[in-house]
Amino acid sequence: MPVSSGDIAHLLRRTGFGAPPALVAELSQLTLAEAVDRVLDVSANPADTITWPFATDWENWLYLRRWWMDRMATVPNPLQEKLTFFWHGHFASSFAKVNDLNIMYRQNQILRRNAFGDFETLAQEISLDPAMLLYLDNYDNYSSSPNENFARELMELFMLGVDQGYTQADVVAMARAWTGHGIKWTDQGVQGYEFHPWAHDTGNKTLFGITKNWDGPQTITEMVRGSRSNICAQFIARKLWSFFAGPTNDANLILALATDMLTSNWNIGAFLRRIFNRPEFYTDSVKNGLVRPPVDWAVTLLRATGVSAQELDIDYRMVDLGQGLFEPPNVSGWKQNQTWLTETVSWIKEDIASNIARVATDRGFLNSILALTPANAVTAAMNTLYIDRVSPGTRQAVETWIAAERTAGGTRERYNIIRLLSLTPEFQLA
Amino acid sequence: MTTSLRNSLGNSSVSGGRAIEGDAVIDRVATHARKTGKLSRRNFLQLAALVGGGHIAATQLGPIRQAMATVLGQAGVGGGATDGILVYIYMGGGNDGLNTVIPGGTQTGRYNDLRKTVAIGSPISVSNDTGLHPSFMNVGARFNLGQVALLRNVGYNPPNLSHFSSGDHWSAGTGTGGTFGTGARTGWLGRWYDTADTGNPLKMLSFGSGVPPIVRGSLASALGLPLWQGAALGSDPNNQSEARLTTALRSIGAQPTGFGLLGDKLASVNVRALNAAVASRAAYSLLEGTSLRRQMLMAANLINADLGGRVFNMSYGGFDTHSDQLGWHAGLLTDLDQSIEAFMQRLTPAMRAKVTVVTWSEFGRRPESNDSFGTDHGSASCMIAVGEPVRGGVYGTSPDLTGLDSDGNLVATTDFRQVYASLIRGCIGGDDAQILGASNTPVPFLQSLAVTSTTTSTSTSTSTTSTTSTTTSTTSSTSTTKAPSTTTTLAGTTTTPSTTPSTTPSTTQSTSTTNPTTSSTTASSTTTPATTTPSTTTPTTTSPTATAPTSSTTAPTTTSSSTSTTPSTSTTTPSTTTPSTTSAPTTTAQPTTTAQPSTTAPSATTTSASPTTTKPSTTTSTTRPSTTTTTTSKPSTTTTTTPGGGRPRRPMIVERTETDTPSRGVDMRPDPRPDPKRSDVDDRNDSDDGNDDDNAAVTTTTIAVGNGTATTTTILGRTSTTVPRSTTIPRSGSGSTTTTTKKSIPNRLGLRVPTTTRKPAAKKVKKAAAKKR
Repeated sequence: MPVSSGDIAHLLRRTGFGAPPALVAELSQLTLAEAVDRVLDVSANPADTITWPFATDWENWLYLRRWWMDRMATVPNPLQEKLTFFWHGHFASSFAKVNDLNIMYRQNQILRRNAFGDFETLAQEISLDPAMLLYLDNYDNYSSSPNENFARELMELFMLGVDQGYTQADVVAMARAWTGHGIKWTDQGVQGYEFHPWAHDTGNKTLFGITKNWDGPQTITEMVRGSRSNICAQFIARKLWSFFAGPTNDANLILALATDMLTSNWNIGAFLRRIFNRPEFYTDSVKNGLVRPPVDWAVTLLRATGVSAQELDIDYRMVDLGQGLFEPPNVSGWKQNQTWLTETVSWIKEDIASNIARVATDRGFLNSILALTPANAVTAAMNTLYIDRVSPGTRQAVETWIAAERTAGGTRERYNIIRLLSLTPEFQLA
Repeated sequence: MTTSLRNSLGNSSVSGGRAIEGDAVIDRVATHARKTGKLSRRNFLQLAALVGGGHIAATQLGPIRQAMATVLGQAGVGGGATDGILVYIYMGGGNDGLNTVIPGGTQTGRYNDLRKTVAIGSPISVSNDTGLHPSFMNVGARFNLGQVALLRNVGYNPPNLSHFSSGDHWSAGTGTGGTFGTGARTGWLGRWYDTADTGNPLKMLSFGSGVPPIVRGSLASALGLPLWQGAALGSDPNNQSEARLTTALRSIGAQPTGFGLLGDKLASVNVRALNAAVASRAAYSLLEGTSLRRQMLMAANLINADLGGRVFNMSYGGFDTHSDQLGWHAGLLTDLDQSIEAFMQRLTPAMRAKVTVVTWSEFGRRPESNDSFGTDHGSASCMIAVGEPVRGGVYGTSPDLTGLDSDGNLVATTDFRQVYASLIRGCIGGDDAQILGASNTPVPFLQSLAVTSTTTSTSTSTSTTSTTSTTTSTTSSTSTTKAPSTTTTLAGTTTTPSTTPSTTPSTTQSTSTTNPTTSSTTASSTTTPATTTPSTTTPTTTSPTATAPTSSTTAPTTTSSSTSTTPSTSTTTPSTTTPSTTSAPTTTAQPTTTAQPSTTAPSATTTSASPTTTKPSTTTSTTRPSTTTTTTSKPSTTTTTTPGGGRPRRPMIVERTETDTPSRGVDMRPDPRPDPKRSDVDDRNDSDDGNDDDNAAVTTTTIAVGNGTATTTTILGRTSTTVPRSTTIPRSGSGSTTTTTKKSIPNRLGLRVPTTTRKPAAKKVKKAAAKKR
């Protein structure tokens, strides 16, 4: 039985970047399960290969950040990118410390390649990848005096949640288990992961109450599939739900989500299929319960206008705004909702929207609305910007504005309507 | 206000129409204010906009000032001990307190043993048991002027080693009970604002992309301002096209959206952003340098404009120095030192007398360094207070490097809430017990706080004293008009029941002292040893001045020192009734006091003409009994390698700060970008009104920046640099074409330029060294 177009639009907004009216209409003909399958099918997306176009690393670094935004804005099925973006915030690493664009790019590929796959595989690959080894100092973790940075965050932020099922003693043991997992260096720089037996602590360690000669990767298996499995499932399932549906403290729901995860045997794609089919995903509180993170907001604007990030100096402003790609503010990634409800964010969003609107209107974007009545012009502009639901108050305000603009003989109608609509609550909600 | 008003009047080449409109607003608002004694937030903003926008005439100055003063007056500005302005700096990532305020004296050997390759070899000596990181050139100089308080070993017990949990504790300020994660996420400054909000949106500000929980209350939150002004929609009221746009956004923000709480908030935050863009315009002049420096200069600009700002919250990061610590940490502290100095220099003398700069971090770092030339997460750290209102000196006990906890971390001896209580009572004003959820004994590092008996070893309480067998405690009945209850905090240090008198380190354990039991609160306080006492095992604690205790009446401050034996227990009993001026009770010159930094009475503010005395240092430090100390130091077989500098410093950047804080990336960028303002965004001119932006009231300023100059153009208050609009980002590094004020960032920050080649040579050395083990 077909689903309501409102639900489809919600599904598309949350799994992608905006809900194009044509796609909403098309998917509304399907059952929910079929629509979810469509969303999850990313086979049509092009490969994520990249060719550095510039001579200097600096230019290429700027290119990389914009490349990802553009990829988000242009791939046929955006869930792949949205999920990769989720993992980027989860297994956070920052160029600011890693300081090597090739390494950051390769980590991005790992995230994308494993985004829908087995969670443990993803965690294992990320842990032994140079980006994380550098970012959390495990490359520098020697048996003689272990460095706890990675060990702590692995449990606190990546696998279990703060103080969930581990103690400071476990942090110490975990750090010892990860000693020796380092980086291969040559005169050409970082060559990749390398295990250094001479730096590895082969003694017994008591981790999670189990005493043996733990080795790093075994600890991940233990957390995902061993004694900490339930805790891990709750933590990961809740975080994914939070990202797509909005934050929740509903203990029953969290348990149900954890069960979904375990039932899916840690396959993320299968888990997402379950949660997108859940009726809880389509409640009003969920629909109104999430602010678009800035990247989502900006990419949706790029997608709707057809402007490329390479045409803009958008990446600086994204950093100012608090969400620069490849530069999460810290190892805990980005927070949600309240974080984006500040004057600063609103202020800078307007700046970015102006930036995009300038390029778009220079190219004739929204030319057609100039000939329409105010009411029709607003409708057309909203459709073009994927605003699929609108409050009477907002509509009224925009119509009033456009009428006043025309009365005054304003010549920036198209430019200004992009700026105005991009700041409406309708466009800023996920 | 005068400064900003004059400035704005200076360029108020205002068209008649605007002035008339301004008149109407002023009349309406000022009348309303007179009648009601209040200003609405919106009205205040209208006034601020007029001031900031330069759309007023000289004759209007009086009414505006009067109207705004109505608001400011409510905030208590204009007199009193709590007239202060707080600039609160978060050092994100866990600042290494032991390498910031460095234990010396008898602990030097232990310090060097633990710190190995990250030890600071030649600190700036500030007392005979304490040094300051050599990066603090300017702060050190201000210490000698009596304007710097070093608060040692501040934290809470038991510590949480998570950045985020620990940061939550510090931010919430309600203790370690975890109220932060589960309950409402309000911070102690946010709750202060709940009680102090007067409708002036500029009263508490937070810089950067986010507004962190520390400045969020349940009723009011700090206003967030970006570090980069950009186009700032609505900041130019003369642009009719923009004005129509803002009208639409205000209209959307004025009604329910039907999309729930978040929808409504999104709508209303737009309006607040529009208001902020106008009201804060004064902040964005002549900014330069690192992220922190920009933030501090923004604060200085706003403080000088005298718009009623009382709390300026800011942050910078990079302190999570798990590896390669020495060079990186030095750079961060240099940034702090220079930013503070630039800030102080920017302030007008009148405002400088009110401002206290305070630093904090979520935790300190492990006393024993790791094998990566860094340090792992620790517990207690130091806080630094700088400013003319500060009573300079070294406070709290020196971190006890021999009494570490089972994880090898310090045991905090001053609870951070004591510092908060001090700041509330002595700087920003308010009921600290209400805001913090408990009464805490202040640390008298502000001149507005009475010194009283902090020097004494034993605790005295205001009303009743009960002796408890185990705890010790110190302290001070701070005589303030606030609740006289002196409850000491530090729940959790109950494990350390003994006290050691200062002169006799760790030998005698004179327990059994009187403990303050506050009249109302009970239990928790009794268990906890207080810690405000400056000093420790080694004689120190010089506080250059002790001002006369103010406000007597309520506080029957009696102090008794029970720990005898030590010569240092002198008591200053400021049970005076005279608020000031006269020679307050004074203190006894302390034999143990040493090395005091040229005690000139710091900065003559009008307040209490206090006799400068040397504060007796004292006594009971709540150090752990030496018996129970578990030294966790692993048999440090390792101390190998070269001290500190063998490897090239890999640029480390913040991997973590409070998430709401600007990232390290923001700090460090070379900032080559063009000005994001898009006033010329369309080639089609907006010809609908004759008053449009592009060609009015242009002023140009050229300032020297580093080794170049930057031209700043101000168009009707909007500032832009000379950078031509371009759609490509200028090259990194060498700067080439464009020169902007943003260019002056020191180049340890060349971080943005990826280095594909790391020098592996040093790595190999280290590997080889490690291999041998």
